[in-house]
Amino acid sequence: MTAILGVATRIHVGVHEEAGWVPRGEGRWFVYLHLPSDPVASLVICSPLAGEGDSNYRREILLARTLAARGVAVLRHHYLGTGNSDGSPSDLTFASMLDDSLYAAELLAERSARAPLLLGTRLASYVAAEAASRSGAPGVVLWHPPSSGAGYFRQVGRMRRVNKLAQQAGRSVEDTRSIEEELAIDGRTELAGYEIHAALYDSICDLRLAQFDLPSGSGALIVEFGRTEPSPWLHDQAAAWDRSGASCRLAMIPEREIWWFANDLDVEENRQLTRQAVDITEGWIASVTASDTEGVA
Amino acid sequence: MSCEAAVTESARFMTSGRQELFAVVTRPSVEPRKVGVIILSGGRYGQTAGRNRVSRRLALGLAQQGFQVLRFDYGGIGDSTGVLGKFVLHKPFVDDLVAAVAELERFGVQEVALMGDCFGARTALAAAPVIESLSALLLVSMPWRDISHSDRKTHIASSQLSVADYVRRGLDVKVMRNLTDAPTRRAYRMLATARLGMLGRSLADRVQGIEVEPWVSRRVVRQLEEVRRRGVPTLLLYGTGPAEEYSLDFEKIRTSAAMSAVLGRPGDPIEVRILDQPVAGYRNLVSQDEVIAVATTWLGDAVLRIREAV
Repeated sequence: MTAILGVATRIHVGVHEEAGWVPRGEGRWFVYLHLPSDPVASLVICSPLAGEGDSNYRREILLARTLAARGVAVLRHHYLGTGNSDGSPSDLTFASMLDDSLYAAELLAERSARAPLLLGTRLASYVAAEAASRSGAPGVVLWHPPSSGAGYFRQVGRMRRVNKLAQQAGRSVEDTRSIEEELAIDGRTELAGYEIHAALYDSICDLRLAQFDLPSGSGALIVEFGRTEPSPWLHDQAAAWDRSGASCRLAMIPEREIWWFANDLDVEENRQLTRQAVDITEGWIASVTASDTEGVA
Repeated sequence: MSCEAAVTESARFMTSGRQELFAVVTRPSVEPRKVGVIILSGGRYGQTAGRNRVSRRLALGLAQQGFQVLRFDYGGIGDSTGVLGKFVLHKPFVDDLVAAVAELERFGVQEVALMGDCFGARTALAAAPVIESLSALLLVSMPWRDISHSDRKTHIASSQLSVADYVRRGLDVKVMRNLTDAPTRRAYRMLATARLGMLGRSLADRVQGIEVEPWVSRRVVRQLEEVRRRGVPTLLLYGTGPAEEYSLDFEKIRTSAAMSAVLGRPGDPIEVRILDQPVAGYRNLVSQDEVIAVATTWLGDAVLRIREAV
């Protein structure tokens, strides 16, 4: 069994939680496992990055604890170069995130004896989709995926400018360099105190959600925030995946999320948006698990 | 050897009331000091590594100097259990911090230094009287008002208006017309209540001969006086910039008679440093590095000073 170092454990209503570090190469990779006694399914959570990672963090924990209480084993992890894992953020790329997530799927399969589903939020939707395809996962959940890496970074650029204005308390922003210029000159750019390095930007900028294939016969749940009807491009993407043999479901959450700047007013547990995201995901995983069990029977 | 290789990290769950708090302890691989550092976060979201890993980078840097470092999520935040209750500056999570001190003592730590930013700084200062083994305090961007996040703007606005301003605005036709709107009425009531509270404090202070602005937390002043009396080396670290609210507040009161008594004399245990960059919330990469550099150097020096004094 894969060794976990510096591990802490707690048991709550039959769910065993384990947090610690898995040695990988020269570094240690932080993982957090939620293990029910007899898992009926399993899920690897691929977190978004930087500010989005922090604003989504508690929501992922609430999802993990809710699912684990219903028999779903969950693994959360910090990509190498982020959070409590070792490594430099300058080495973080789409490939390294994918590598970590595939490793997570292997580890969770080993601990739960179930083929893991994957969940990815924002940019990590691409990681989850690719990891699901490569690992032959029974399904994938995508929380608010961007249509393209380039579009995502355009949005980040706009938010960066707004944030700089806020930091200057409305005074004019002297530094008007774009993200691309900063990456070319400094090798990194920043937004609200989070760094984004050139290697990550280069590895993601040309990606589009449409380029990821889902395994035929697998399921997909796509959750879009801040809308009552799906974005047309997302609707088309779901239809394309349906045609290729994956069963795709779209779910809408009307409340808008400000991904880069964590909600600082409401307790995450009390937010309608969070409750809906957790409920929708839990319900979909229960339906996938039930159909799997029927298939086996 | 990378700094990560020179230290060990272990995860912990610690009990505080009915909650289990998640913590990470970072220790030097060889010969740890008997001095621990607890890093307190300022936010109510995120996780133990902190924004852009500031807390983790601090922990690694301090552990390389021989300190044993603990960082944790308050109850209801990050990986800890529980649901967050009221999150107001004057009701810091002292019990959570006391649990963290007890956890660090399990590793043989005999003295504890506390470092916190914003709410974390208030928590550290509020807990100081109950931590006998306290050896140093590093308070980053510490707020001076007793407010919740949601009424911050009202509090600041009300403290900037004089009584004459209130009367003038109260008689303004536009303001009177707005009184028909319930949310606006509520906002005006909040402003007036905050101002009345400050006026009351101001009058009481005059009777007692206290000379400090009415919006300043008396708790904070008393707590600082107490750490000064105990001789605990304390560093108040602020940033610079138009959006640095707590730093701007500090500049307004720094020269007041009450604060001069707490901060003023050379050789006092309480020092002040102002960095050229914004530091609040660690929202700036340059200042993140500066804070880490100042913290690792100052905490090392503070501990040495205690040794020399002993």
